[in-house]
Amino acid sequence: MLEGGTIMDAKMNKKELLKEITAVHFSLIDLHLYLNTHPTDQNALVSYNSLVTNARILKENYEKFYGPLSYGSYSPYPWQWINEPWPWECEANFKLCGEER
Amino acid sequence: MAKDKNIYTVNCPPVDTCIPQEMIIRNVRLAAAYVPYQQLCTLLSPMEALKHGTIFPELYSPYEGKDKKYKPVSKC
Repeated sequence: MLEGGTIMDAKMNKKELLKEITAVHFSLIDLHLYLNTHPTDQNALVSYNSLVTNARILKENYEKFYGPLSYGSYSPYPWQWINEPWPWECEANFKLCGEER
Repeated sequence: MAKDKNIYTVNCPPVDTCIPQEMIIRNVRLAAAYVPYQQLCTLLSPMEALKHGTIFPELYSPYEGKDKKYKPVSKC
């Protein structure tokens, strides 16, 4: 699903990384909903667990360079939580290419 | 009805092989909704899933805003 290089690149572009994290998190939510009604679907579970791993790697990678994305994450010095972008800023609300709206 | 069907066949990928079509519901009641049980078929890549609003191609059912009075989301 994700290209291996995408995850392995030590320092991806900040915005691209955030976009990838958003995409993987969204996919996790959808598979999560599916598994609630299909708890014995092993293929779906494999896909889900694989995305969990991807999400973790991507998030750790982002947080290492750009600061915590959620409460409970480590922060380098100085405290990174107050860094931009804030959720209401354009940078955090990217447009998807090919999106019509 | 025919028009609705056309909308779905135009905008949605063919998914007959992924959705059980042979289902027969007996003792149908009024004012009750019946949803076919979803089967896992193909999954979209995470980025495609985000663009489509679902990771399951069978569930992709875009709303055609041009048909209605519809205001596009303001751009950043």
